[in-house]
Amino acid sequence: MERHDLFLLNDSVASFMIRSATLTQAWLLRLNALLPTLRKGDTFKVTVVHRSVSFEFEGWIQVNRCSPVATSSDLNGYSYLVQKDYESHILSEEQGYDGLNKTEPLLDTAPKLFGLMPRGVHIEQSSPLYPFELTEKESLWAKNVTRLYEEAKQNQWSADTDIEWDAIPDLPPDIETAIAQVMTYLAENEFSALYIPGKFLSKISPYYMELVMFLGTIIYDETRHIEVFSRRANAKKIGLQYSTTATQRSLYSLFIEKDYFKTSFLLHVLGEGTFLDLLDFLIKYAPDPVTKKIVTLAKKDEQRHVNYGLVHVKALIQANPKRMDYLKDAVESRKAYLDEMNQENELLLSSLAILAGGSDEEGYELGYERVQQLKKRMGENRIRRMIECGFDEETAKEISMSHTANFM
Amino acid sequence: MASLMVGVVAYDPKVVLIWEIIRDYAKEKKFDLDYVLFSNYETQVQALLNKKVDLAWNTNVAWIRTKKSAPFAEALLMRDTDINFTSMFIAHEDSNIHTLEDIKNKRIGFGSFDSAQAFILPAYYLKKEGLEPNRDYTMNRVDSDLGKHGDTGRSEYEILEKLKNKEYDAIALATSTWMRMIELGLAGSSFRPFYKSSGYSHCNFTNVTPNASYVNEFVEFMIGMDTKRSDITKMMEMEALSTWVKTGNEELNGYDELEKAMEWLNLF
Ligand SMILES: [Fe+2]
Ligand SMILES: [Fe+2]
Repeated sequence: MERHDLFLLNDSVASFMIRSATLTQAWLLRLNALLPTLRKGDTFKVTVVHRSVSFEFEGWIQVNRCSPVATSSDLNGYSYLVQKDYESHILSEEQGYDGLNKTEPLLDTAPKLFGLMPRGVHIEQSSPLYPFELTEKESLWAKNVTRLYEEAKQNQWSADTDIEWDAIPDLPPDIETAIAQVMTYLAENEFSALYIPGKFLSKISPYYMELVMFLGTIIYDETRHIEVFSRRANAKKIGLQYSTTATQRSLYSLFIEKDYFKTSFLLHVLGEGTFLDLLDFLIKYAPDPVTKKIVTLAKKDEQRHVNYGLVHVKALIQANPKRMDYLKDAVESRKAYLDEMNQENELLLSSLAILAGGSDEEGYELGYERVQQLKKRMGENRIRRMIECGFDEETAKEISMSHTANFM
Repeated sequence: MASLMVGVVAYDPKVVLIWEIIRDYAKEKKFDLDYVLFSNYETQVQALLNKKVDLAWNTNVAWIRTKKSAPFAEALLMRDTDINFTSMFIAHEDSNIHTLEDIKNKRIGFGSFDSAQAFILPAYYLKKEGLEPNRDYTMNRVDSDLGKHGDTGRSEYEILEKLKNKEYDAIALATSTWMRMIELGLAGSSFRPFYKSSGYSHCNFTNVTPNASYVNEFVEFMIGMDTKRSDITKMMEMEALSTWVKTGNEELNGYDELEKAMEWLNLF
């Protein structure tokens, strides 16, 4: 084919006219920046006016793994049709999160070179390999995660403006002490709920960006819970009360778990699930409207966290029912550790009884009875949630029996 | 059998990083390969000729020297970027040089005497045009990092400085170096390229043992590298190649002019 025809025929993606007397740094940047946007085999056209620049441009072509497909010179200068001879990027066929649709990653495994980047970008071949450990869609993804992220955004609340801190009444010392103790316990557990997703977040490939973003909302939710529970305990003279080894051992045994799936089950399904019932109890028996509002708002957040766990665990069990045994093992080995010591937080249970009944003898007996009913309800709901996840009733019952007496 | 030993010249700290990646990769592929660092190409060529190493990663000058002493030496493999390597002449705009003929009676700066790209070949290209040194033009040279055969590029940066100060009217250097200089902002607006050479061959892996069994294994190993792996792409970026290429006849012909040039300059 005649050279001239090639120029006419070309469907080159860019065309430049270089008029400067040297190949300037600016031109070099412009040419270099063009390359990543081209595919292997793409052509572009460059005309240089000055002879000296033609030497430089030919050098540029050679150094940048391109080749001149056609060249010509006339009164206008020296023209080149240049082809890029290599592929610099792995092109993404996905769009990634757009804030509009229920987006979902298409691949079962995150691309190997996927780094700190949003899904949908084109990755340069020489990009470094990040050591993300969690790269399998199955072990991470839940169908509702994008929707939950949207819900989380819409339901944010403020520990400052949504809570009327000044409206907390002066309560009888017994009641205020019980509230402070319960809040102390809650805040401890919220730290667990903050640190555990935080621990896994950095191991998850950003390819699953909606999940990463959702975990980000969990982290802020839990931060807010830590704030409001601590603030409520400190709102009156009595202040934060006692931590217990029972609670700490329980949280510790969860904290050291290395498996994301097991943790998701233990924390979101069993732990936060049980917390929903506890928060319900507090909504009912909190002695003042401000505290009621705090636990009501916290419960809404927890419901989202539980919903992620339910759908996540359900999908994994559906794909392989043997995983039920795997989760049962996780609960039982945790129980074996916890059984080494008395595992009930008696300070908490006693405070709940005071809130639900009162501190006098009769009231306390009634409160105690109500706490017993709460524990029963917690067990039933745990079983119900596990059945929702696909567990058979018997396994669910066994697991529920072995669940930590600390609730989380 | 002992490991296949490849000699490489340590012209830059990154050479170690490059060869550690290659060695790790070889280990993974159960290919028994190791490397030896040399401080200069003359020692490396001697070691290759004395069979102290099995293969050597040679510059074009080292390759021509090896071939002189061992006529059966073979060039096995090169980087794609070793093919059609080119050099340029750059003039200062005040020196009024627009073509090769214009260098008559001018001061021309070259790089180290063992650098094919910045001295040997550019000087030879002038000779081919009938321009004899110190008759038609003044030949100046900056010899630095001798033994590295121009790998460090230092002499090219030094002659650029002299061109800037108008101690020279024009200089010779590798096109790739010039591109780097533009990128670094060293190529000011007062410089005018006026010549770019045709392509010649640059480095290769050299073997001097006829019918050695490891030759094919080595070539297959290198060519078979998984370029999708990020350690390999990183290595290739550092070593400035996108693919390894077997040295064929055309590539071998790319050394012919250098051989003539070295003869002319008495560089054996
Ligand atoms: Fe929480
Ligand atoms: Fe939570």
